[in-house]
Amino acid sequence: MAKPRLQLRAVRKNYPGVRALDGVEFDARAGEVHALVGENGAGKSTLIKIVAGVVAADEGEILVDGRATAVRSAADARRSGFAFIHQELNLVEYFGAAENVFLGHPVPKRFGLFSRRRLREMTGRVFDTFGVSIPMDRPVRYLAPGQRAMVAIGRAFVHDASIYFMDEPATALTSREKERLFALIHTLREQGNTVVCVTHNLDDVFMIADRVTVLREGKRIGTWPTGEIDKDTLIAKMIGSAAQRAPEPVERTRGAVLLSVNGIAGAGVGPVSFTVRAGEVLGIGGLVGAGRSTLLQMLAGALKVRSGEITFGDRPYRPRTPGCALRKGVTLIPEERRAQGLALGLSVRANTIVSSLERFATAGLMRFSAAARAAEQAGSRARVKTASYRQVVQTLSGGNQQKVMFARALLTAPKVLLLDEPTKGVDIGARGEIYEIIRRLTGEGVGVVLVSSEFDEMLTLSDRLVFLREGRQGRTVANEGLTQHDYLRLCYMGVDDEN
Amino acid sequence: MRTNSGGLDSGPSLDLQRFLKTWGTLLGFVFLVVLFSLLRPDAFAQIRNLRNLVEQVATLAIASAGVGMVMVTGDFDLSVGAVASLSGVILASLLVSGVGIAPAILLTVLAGAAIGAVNGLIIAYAGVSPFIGTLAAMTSYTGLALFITRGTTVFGLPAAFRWIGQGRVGPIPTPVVIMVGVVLATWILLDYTTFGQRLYAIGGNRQAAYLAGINTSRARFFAYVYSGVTASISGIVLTSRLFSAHPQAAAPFMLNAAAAVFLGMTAFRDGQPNAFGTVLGVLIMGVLSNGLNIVGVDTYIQSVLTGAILILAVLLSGLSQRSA
Repeated sequence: MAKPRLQLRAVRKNYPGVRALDGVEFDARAGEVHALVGENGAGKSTLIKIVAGVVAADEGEILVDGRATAVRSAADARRSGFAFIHQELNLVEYFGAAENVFLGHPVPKRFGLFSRRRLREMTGRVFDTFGVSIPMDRPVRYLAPGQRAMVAIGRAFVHDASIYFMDEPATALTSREKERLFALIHTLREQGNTVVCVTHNLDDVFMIADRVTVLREGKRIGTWPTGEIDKDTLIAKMIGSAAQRAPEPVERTRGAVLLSVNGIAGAGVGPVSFTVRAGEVLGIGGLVGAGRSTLLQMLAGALKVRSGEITFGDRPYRPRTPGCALRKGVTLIPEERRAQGLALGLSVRANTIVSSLERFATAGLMRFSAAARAAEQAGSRARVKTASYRQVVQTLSGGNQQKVMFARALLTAPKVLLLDEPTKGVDIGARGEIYEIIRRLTGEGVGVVLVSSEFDEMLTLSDRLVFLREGRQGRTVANEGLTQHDYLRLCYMGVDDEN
Repeated sequence: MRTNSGGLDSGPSLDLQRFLKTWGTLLGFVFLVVLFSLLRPDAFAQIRNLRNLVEQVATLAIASAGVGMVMVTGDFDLSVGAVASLSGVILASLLVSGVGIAPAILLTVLAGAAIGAVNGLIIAYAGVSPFIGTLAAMTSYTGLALFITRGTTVFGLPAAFRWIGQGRVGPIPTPVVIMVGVVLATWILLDYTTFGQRLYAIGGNRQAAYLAGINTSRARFFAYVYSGVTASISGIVLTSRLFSAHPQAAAPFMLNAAAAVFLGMTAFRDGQPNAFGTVLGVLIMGVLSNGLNIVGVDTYIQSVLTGAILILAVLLSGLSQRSA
């Protein structure tokens, strides 16, 4: 049996209130592609961060070729031969492929001057060994996502990396690009390198990995050669038997159809069809990158719908901007609350009323006392905890910031509420309160469309589930007695696949 | 673990810090006034001089009001100086060719609005970056003003036109009255209308404002229109004060107006442009230039000091730590 190139021994990491890694053992061999899988919160990211020298482990050690190695910084990691290809590739957008590959590396000179031609030749040789060709005459910002990933890998390669860590490398790639990437991963393996690949996509695991390690709740569940385990078993390992429980049944009276979506497509997603009824939560199931946020943004008027039809009530609905959608009663709480949701430097009050300014104005003049009262009412309904509504939103906790987003949405009196990762980065207490708000809204007849990467959340909140897989429509099911196991299987299932 | 704010954290030092953040720039202004008054009580601290000073800064204050409104959204308007100069040229040409004072002023303000609308179209709708867009626009407007006048100064304005820039309303100079009017209008627009709330929301986070349903392009467009209007009013007052129109008379406004708004961002409203802060910024620059003149500091050194004081104000207010 090949000797392990990389070994992690009894790695332990605690965050306040969370045991992120609980004595994890892991090893990867030379000439091996090793997949690391697990649900969100299983500890995959923490593990990678420790190896990258971004966070320090509380206990445990890292061994390279059997020797204990201290990795306290990114520079240490590089010296140990580690390379990291993250989803954000950290490329210099305005530089070409060659300049990016050799960034931070001694550059070739001719007559004492930097020679771009020789740089390109050298880069060409790197890509030749991979069997790919990348245009070098244009800035990488104009390259396709797959080519950009190749550039990032090329950079790691010239830095003499021998252990490659890839985090969801195939997300955002077309199927052809994906094939190329997988071919490149194979080449790296043939050359004796080690590739550790974190992914949600289990089909990819079976396509490229030699072995797979499952993490769950900070513990290693096991490592198997991919030839000796099947997808269903793997899913069961990821979820664990304890978690295989049916969600609590929710009693709801389902109302009339509010939103009827017929074969809409745009931005690489669709065609998709479904209906949203008053008083129900419709979950959009699927994996990261399945196009769920894109779908919500189309419904919210933030992205263009290219084809298909939407009916809202009995009228055609085709919002051109988020403002149009809001006026009709469709409100989005976007995924990135800091980037897309809040003006962090403005007050809680200003952030709460921003979608409803007209309601608190007469002939364009603000009626601030009315606005303040309404903001505080909506805030208390959304359980916002703040010393003052004049306080700057930045000073609130993540959970409270998210509740400000809910308060804003409540003020718009939505008929349909679109929620994109409503509890991302929110602590447990606030999460419960947000679930409570969602339940109250559906009780009042609001139709909710929910996207979340947490299976548990999807199963707890949804009445029905529509699945997306790589932008295409999958199954539509009632959330009755579904387990997390069923859910994950549905994520991988096309609309016509057999059970 | 993060503790709740309040309680132990908010000692007296924090209150002092917050006090200085809000009122520090105003204190700096008071300090400058007291300093120059003590240095030259005979010349600086005279009613006549102070009235003259306010009259001098009025034109810059009017133009800065509009620039401040654009900067609330996080944009920039480098073209104000050119728009003010061009407005003066348009007005003078109309007056010289026999158009009545009132219609000439009205037409000039409309022209200012139209010019602002062009800026707004280029930046808010066509998506050119504000810096490049208004820089290019500035070049064209200056060229237009030079073309209309053939590079010369327009003289021969009707005597009655003097009142706008050199007259008095009771004891108060007319430019000051106009300045107060523009500043109050700006204050009301920014602080008391849905329009102002939208502008601040856009400045806070443009993408978030868009997703929150705000028509960000329209709001930014109208901020530029407003800036065009105030620039042309400023140009009208300036033309009357100089009683002639030069195609580059208001050129220094380009940077001075932005500097005044930046200074004003350090006052009253934490890190955001605001109507009264901008006036304070203009007054600080006016007092500096007037006071240093009286004390006898070289004009060129005055510029050096003005720049240094702007940096100092930004550093002291903690504005520098904010991103963007």
